[in-house]
Amino acid sequence: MANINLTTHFTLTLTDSDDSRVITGGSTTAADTIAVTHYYDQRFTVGATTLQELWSDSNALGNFDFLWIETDGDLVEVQLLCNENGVIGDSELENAFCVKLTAGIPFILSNDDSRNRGDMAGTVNASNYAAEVDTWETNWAADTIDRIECYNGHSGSVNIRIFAAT
Amino acid sequence: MATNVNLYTKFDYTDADGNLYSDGSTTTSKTISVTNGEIFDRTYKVTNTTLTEILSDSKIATFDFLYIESDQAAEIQLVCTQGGSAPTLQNGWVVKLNAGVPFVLANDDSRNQGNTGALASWETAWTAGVVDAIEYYHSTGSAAKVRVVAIG
Repeated sequence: MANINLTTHFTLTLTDSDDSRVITGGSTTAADTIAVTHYYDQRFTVGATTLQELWSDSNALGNFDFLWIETDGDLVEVQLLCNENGVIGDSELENAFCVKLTAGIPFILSNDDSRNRGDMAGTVNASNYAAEVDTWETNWAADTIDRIECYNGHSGSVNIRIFAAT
Repeated sequence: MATNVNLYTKFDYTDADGNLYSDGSTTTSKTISVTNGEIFDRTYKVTNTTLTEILSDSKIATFDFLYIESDQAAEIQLVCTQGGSAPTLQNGWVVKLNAGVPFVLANDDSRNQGNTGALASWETAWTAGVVDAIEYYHSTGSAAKVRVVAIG
């Protein structure tokens, strides 16, 4: 088992009329480490207005402790899906969310942990849906990301790299 | 007061056979242009099992850059189109944070669930929205410190 070394650092310099200051976080020299053994590294070319599955737990790599997704196009979105095909009857309703990528800036996760929507109080309706968004810490159940898709809304093809490791 | 965030991210991994996998840079930054020059920068102290709203539209209306770092393992919930009902049904998602590993977004763009919440056809059935609120929760241990930087 070896480590992934991850460094993250940002700076913002503000210049006002009478002074300047820097807001900063993270480090370029002190890395965070994540222990992994196996990895999945793939580059896709995705055509205009095309949906592409980037990763799923049916791949050889069934889960991840590190995820890096980077694209060279701006109008690219990823959908993260937790507990694919989970249903209310099993108290594990699937859940999903969408993140818009910025060209050249990686989207990074340090694990695949998330939450499904549980049993939605037994019924999907507006009231239960809204209530359980507000009480997620008790009514949503711990689970993992099972599938990641991307959608290229750009007028031309884009390239996307996904590196996942566990 | 237009300004830029300079972001440096890099990973490297050497497998058992000595193959190096890497991306990003610690010396060449990516630049994120900030629209309004508004900044929210706060460190919270959060006791365990206490759900805490760490960001909302009332703190900063939009963001072009988000940085969250917790000194303990924790969860955050991102909510898009908070309070929205069909045809802009709100959506929520949970991300688990590792202690000390930042979570970064380069914009607040997402999608709400539109009319139906159809997960399988999200690229057409979901509607563009933005992250309106973020909550923080950790279940065990001593009080956590979490820093939230949002710049928009």
